[in-house]
Amino acid sequence: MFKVNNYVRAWAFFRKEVADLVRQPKLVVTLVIAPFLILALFGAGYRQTNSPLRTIFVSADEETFHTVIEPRLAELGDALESAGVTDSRESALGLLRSGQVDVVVVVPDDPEATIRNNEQAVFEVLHDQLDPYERATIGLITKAAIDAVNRSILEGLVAEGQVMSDDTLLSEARQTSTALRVAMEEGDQLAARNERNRLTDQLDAWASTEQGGSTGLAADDPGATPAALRDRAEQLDVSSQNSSDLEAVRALESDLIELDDAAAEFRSIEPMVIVSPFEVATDLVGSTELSVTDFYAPGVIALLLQHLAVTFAALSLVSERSLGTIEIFKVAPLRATQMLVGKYFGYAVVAVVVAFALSGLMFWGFGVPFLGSVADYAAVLALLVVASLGVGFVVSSVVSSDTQAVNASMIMLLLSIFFSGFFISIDRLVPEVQAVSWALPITHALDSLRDVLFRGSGIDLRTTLALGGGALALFIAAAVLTHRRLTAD
Amino acid sequence: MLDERKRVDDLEGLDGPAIAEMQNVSKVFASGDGVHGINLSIPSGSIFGFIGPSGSGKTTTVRLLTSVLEPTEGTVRVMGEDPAQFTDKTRSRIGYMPQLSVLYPNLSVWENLRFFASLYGIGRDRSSLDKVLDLVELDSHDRKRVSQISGGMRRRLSLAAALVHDPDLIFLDEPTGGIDPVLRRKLWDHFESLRSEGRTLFVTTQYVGEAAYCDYVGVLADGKLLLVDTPTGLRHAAFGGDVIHIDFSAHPAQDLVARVAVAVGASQHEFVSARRVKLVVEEASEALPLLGSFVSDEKIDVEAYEEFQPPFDDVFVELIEQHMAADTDDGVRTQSPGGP
Repeated sequence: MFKVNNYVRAWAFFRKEVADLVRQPKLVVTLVIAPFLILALFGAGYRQTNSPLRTIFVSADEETFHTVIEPRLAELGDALESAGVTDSRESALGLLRSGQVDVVVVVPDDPEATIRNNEQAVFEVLHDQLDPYERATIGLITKAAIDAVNRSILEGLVAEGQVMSDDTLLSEARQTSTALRVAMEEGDQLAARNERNRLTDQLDAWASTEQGGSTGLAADDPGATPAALRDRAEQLDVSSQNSSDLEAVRALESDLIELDDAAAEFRSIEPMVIVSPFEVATDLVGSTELSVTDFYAPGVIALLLQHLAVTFAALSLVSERSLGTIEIFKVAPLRATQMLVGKYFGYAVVAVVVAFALSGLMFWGFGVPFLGSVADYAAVLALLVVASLGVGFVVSSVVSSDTQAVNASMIMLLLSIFFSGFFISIDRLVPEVQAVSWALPITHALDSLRDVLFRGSGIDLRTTLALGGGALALFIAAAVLTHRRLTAD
Repeated sequence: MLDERKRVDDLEGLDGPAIAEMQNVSKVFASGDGVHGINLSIPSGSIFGFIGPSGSGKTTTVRLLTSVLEPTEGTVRVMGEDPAQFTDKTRSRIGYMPQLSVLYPNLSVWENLRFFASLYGIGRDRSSLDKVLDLVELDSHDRKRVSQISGGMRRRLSLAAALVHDPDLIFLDEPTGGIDPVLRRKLWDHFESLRSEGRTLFVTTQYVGEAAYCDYVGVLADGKLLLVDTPTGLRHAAFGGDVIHIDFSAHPAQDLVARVAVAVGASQHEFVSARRVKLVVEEASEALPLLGSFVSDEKIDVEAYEEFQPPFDDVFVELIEQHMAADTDDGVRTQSPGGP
């Protein structure tokens, strides 16, 4: 009999809550249609790339700007849009203040002189952005622009070096050293002397040239500089056939071959590769490519379900108090657990219907990828709803007005937006603050939902324990607190 | 107009063991309001009316008896139990209708009633719901949402919710508020039939005339219980006895009126109008024959004489005024010793 009454009372609350919610069509609209429209608007309106930064340059030397800087900005694609160049800093700042440009870049005066003075020439970047993310974007784009200019200049220098390294004197010296070695090995002293003299002349000439005197392709080997090679050639005893002299001529020949080969190799490599030898290639492992809408879709559903569950439950007991029904509950043979079980199931059923509708729109309407199993997906959402209801009922049993209940659920929503990983990864938070994140049901649910949907994983044990254990603990806390409310004055 | 006399006569002599008692019970809220030193005994199988001005403590008393509130001082026993320790069985024997209509506006009349019935374990028994809906004349409105029905209908539905589980002890906090006189009469008839089945009703009301329907009436003012008595006893208490009106043919002389008063043993006499005189006697049934003999013997020209039943509104006002006067006297007395 007692068990039947338990069922009858819990069922009464279940039926009452469902009927009460279903008969509020505006509520259903705000719960299902409005979030869907928000998601649709966000997905349609969000740009994956930033708007081009409208940039005006301030330079005293417009010709240098047009010849050196402007051509290199093309590398940035649409990230930066040049609004031209002016020699007046004030007029550029005027354009910035009036919103006609986003950024003013002041080109350093006489950068060549600054660099020759062993200092970096500084491009001054001026903007009026307050948004930290926009400021960071400006920093990144202008840094990329300066890197492009630097890289372009370096590429030019490398190309020039490659032209200069096309040195026939070095190739001739290499051939002469081979002829000298052959003459010495054959004991032809006359030929050897002639070849040595020719080699020293060639090395003299090479050393006196700009590229030979300064490049020093094997500069890390002091014996391989043009002057050192010339000295080594001059010191050879071409009349001797002893092994040390032969070894010396072979070493000289080897160094010249190595230098000539290195120069040829240097000329064969693209300047861009020399200046930027490393590039990054990223690839996503174990998932599928996601659009911004795809990525945020499970977060929106989880956030919405948590919010509606918390709000429903938070308002539930407060509403009973303001309506006066709690007074009847105090007199009736009603247990807090009977009331809570009925309300839990009532709200959960409504939340499941909302979740089903939103999920259908998400997958069939937006084509969000679904790699995992429906059972795992449903399990995560169900655990999230039950845990969130627990939060709401605990709130409801401690607050004393509708306003306090709504404020509490709004605070929960804000916490969830900032700390659940919905917008920013929780890895960006310090460990102490991450504790707040993991105290929120949505953090566990969102983590798991993304794995289920986008990686095809199942619901993991940690999520099950966290949400399931949390839901149980919150139910017990809500039951104790509600019992106190029912028995207090 | 209620046939007060008949009802009071019918109910006189009814008594029974107490189903609920309050001994020196006080409940003081943070504001200082509340009830103070209430001593009360509610006989089983009676209708106990509780009358008092707004804010006098009627609802607080009901809440103390129903376990909604716990007393600051004193002892409350209902059906032999402390309300704070009510068992489920005891709770299921209690019906409670709060002062305000406590209903869910988005649910229909039927759904609301079914919900409150379910709190008492009534699952699929449709007959008890039909019966009580019929009683409050809402059977033809059972599909309407509560948000669409009138305030009077809501009161009736609240009453139905309190009665739906067929309780033994019924607390009704202003059950007839906002209900038309015809239905009020019908409800009181039903309360009487419930009483005749052995149930006990504790009813608060601001319709003072409804006191006539009660077996016992408690009068409450400023959180204090002024007195508990039968309706007849209340009249006695208010006017010092029964009231007789004498209509003389012409304006009587003062000494004639005084002689009449002495002849019937009246404790008070006064002119109500030029020809009508009011006498207050201990028992009208004994005084009226004496009055008849006296006017006959003395050949006094009298058109009519009869017992006058003062409306309970007057009774109530008289009692409250007496209470306020006593309070004022108390104030004078407490101030006197310190005076010059």
